[in-house]
Amino acid sequence: MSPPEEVIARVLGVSPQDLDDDSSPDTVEGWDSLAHSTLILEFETEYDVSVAPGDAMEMVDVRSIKAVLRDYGVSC
Amino acid sequence: MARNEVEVVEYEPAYAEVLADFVAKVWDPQATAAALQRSREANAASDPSCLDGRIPTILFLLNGAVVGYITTLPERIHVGGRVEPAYWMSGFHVLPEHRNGPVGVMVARELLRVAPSTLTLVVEPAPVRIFCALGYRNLGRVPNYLKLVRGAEVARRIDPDLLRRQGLGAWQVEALRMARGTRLDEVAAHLLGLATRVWTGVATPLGRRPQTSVLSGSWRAGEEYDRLWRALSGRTGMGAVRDAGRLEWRFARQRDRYVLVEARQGGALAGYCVVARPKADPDPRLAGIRIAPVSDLLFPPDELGIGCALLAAAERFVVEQGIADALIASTPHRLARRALARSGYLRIPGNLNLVVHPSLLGRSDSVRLEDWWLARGDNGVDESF
Repeated sequence: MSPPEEVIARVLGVSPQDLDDDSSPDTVEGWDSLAHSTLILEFETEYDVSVAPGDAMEMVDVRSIKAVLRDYGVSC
Repeated sequence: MARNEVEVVEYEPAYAEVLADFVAKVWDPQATAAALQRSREANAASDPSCLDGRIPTILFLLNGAVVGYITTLPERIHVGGRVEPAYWMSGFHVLPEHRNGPVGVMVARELLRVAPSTLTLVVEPAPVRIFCALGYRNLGRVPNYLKLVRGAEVARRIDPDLLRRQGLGAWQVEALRMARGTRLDEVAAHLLGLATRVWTGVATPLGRRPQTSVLSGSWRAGEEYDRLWRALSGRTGMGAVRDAGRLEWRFARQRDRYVLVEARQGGALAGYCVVARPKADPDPRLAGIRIAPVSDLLFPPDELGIGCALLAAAERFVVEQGIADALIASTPHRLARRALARSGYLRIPGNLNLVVHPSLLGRSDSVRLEDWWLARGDNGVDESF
């Protein structure tokens, strides 16, 4: 399983080194609503989880994404 | 900060009030919960394609209010020699302030979970991308066909920028701009109309011409329409079951809007088409150009003469009644397209993507867009005119 930063980088087409915990749709070019939706689907496939809608709404930057995924038992 | 309360749910009557608030905000300020629920119940009870009484509808609720929505139009789809209950996706909408997040994909995903056999005809790229991310297949853009019956009027009013957004080439748009004001555009339109009439006379298949008649006002689709469908269902590829029940439900109920054209050979029904009168409040981008959609069309695919006779009768009605400046048809089926071309319809860039979930396609991986028999009335896309 890849770390969340690598999944995000893969979907957005950027290098993982370009991402930090504050990275978000407001700071990363190409991180639009469709990319954000795709990310959630990718997380579900990568980690075999089903992200509840309420949790998906909380995933607004890399920090919060990792926090939500930890709640689902993903180590990150 | 308190966490937002989020739910993605399938509609049930308990949500009628919040859905009415959403509908009032987005489409119809007069919407009420009671009217909305009555409408849903009436549709579920009388739509012959609503086989289980369900009209799957998904709501994204944020703190109790609807911010995302998608509903369906039941349709029986004829595919691979069998009839499958399916649903056209319709009304997909997320409030603008929530489009930067996962609302759209969550709504679409929940619909897929409760109703896998879904498909849609959609223009906007964002929904197409969402559906494809969920595993739907975009079979491609359905070709559009336009028949000018009052070409000079269209040339005078049409917005060149609208043409450019519809995919027409830059030089063609600039040519129209330059012709404006010189009346060259109207002359060209007259010449084009003459040329299409000559072409139609040459290209229409020879042979025994069917008798056609136009039924406007009150009309019914009886048992002979079921017989016609049974005779043609194995020859028209994939698409909606176009029997009497569907005709009655989809079109005959709105007799003020839809006109039925019949073709008969030896007294027997050989084909039909349905033409919609242009709406009284069309899209303002049309600048007053009245476009009548060919909302349905069914004829034996190997008898182009019947198809051409139907289209010719529809055009004569539109011209004689003065109800439209042009007709528009949309279909990918090779033989239906041939009838349109031979009837003088001009192919223009398509903008409707046919997006289908693989569960509806069965084992057939080789399904192509041109295997589908579609019409402008499918998925309610004729509502834009």
